[in-house]
Amino acid sequence: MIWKTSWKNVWRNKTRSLVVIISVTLGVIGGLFYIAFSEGMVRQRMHSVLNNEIAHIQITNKNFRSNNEIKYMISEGDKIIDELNNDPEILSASGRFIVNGMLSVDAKNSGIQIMAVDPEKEKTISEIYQKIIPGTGNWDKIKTKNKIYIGEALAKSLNIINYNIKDFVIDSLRKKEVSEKVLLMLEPLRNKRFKNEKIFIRELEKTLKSSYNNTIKKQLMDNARYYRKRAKLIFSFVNADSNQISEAYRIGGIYKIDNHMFEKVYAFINADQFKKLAGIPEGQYHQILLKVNDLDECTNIKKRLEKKYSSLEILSWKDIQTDMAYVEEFMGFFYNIFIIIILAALSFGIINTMLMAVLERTKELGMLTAIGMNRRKVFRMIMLESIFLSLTGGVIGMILGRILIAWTNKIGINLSSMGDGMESFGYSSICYPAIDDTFFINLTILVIFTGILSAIYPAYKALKLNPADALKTD
Amino acid sequence: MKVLEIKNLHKIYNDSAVEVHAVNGIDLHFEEGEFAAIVGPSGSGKTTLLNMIGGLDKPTNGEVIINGTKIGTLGKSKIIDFRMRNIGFVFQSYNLIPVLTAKENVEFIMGLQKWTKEKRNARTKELLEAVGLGDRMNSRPSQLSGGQQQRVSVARALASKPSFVLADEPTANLDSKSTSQLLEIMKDLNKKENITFIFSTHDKRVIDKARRVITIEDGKVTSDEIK
Repeated sequence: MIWKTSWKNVWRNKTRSLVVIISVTLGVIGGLFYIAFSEGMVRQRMHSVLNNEIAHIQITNKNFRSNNEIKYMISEGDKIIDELNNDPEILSASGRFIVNGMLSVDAKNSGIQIMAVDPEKEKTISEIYQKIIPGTGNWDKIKTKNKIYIGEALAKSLNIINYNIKDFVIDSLRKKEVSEKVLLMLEPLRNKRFKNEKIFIRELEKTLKSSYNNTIKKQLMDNARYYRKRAKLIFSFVNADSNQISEAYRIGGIYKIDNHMFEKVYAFINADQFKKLAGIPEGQYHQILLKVNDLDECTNIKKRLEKKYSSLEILSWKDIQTDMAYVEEFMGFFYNIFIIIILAALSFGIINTMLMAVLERTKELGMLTAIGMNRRKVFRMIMLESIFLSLTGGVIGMILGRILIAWTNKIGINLSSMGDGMESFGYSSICYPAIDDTFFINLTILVIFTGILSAIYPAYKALKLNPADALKTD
Repeated sequence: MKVLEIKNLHKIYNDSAVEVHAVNGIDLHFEEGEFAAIVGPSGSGKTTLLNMIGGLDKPTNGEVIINGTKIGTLGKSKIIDFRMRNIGFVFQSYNLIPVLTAKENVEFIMGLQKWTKEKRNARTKELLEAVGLGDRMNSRPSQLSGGQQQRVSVARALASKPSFVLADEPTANLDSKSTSQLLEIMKDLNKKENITFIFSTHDKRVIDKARRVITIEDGKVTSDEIK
């Protein structure tokens, strides 16, 4: 009876209750989505950091990181890799050669760091082999002579990505129902090669004037882009004997990992070929990268390895990517602050509404006490009303929030309008919001708990009513 | 059988600078099945007396004994429970729960007493039919006239078969037709259920129907007349 009455009481003032329920719903959706959005960005970044950029643990010669010179090798690299691959806590280990140098194409050049890798073992510690842009090559070509894999950002700065409005580009624009007038305006630019994105966009703007818009831009950027796969890239570096060495490479593929800084600096080549080129003895590496089975154990494994290989420098991902380590550690704290703010707003809304409800019903509550509804039941009735209010809004908010998160997780949120900015910091321009199920359960409990807490004061006010006085109230 | 006994009842209000003696030494008792009106001008102490009889207010002095229980000795929670089981209330402004239907309003108190659903339904039907609202069971108070609402209120007061019903100016907001209908219904129920009805009123129509009329002036009983 009390449950039924409480539920009906919630709908006594429909507009007011709906306003509170909608506010709670929007608050919960907003909170959840913000958290899922941040969590999605962080998870994507973490995934990229651990799977494309630095792996879980790195082992180097103690002098290598500070000097970055080719001569500082791990002398018994093969032996250590074998030992690590037999370690039950370690998923995989692979060696790399790392050398700084200059990459030149035509008149363009750029300082880079070469990662010379074992093509097969590399696949167990990095996902770069999966990040090759379709049409630019494939990872398996690394086994053929002098293939280099560069990032998209580097390819752009070296003018390896060019643009040309060929006939098929015009056809594809026509299919996308771009007007004939615009196609006619593009005529002067047809079959002309533009060395880079900047020049191409400038010419498009100049030619199309007011007809230039984002849709046409996207169509043209996607379709007119082509890669100079045959371009000759000269890599120059200084070997251990301080001799300048230069070698010509062709593009094996261009990778894209949504981190412009990484893409601009790191290029991959075949370790065996580099070893011969640089004159590095067998069994030695600059760096051994590890992936562990349980990421939470990373710090313990690192400590164990430090004892075992005391002459080497061993760094976990947290030592290398300190920003992400902080993000991982404090994200939960920020989420909690955010949730507290949302719940506090929810709480004030409920207290306000329920106080109004109690004060409006003074006479009725007095009557209920007079006819025999004891204080415990009056208290419970008011509490239930608050819980129904918060729970209705909370549950609707959580269901809609969940749907919104699932939907955006599927299609991704395109942040390309600020994409360059995001990718400069290593964050993807497409965010896939994500959230743990346990978080939903916790939030449900918190919303109910807030509803209960917020109800206490109004319910206490109701208890304080003297039935004889309350009945006098008009 | 004595259902209610009032012994030397006093109520003094000290709210303002002046001490007000609202009830000043009243002694009364009521037998089972009485149909009594407490009458008197405004400010004579009728409502204060009724509030003390109903355990809604504490006397400054004296005792209210209901079915042998001195209600002044009961604690806050126990008095509420005692009221629920022994006293039915009818208020001047009906005081029905607006979100509940007539049926739900009547069965509310039975729900609090944890009656079974079958028992509740049967009693509610019986009472609403007795007050002539058998066909309006699912109407909300806002869909009923003042007289109909007061009849629901009477049915609610009788729902849990109390020892007596206290009605504070029950006809004050009703027109003459509704008043006579209500009085007939209450009289019938008084006979049928043998439940004592005590009214506070200054409505002549109620006084005419009452079998006992107690007049109060300045907090004192000035006459107690059985017709």
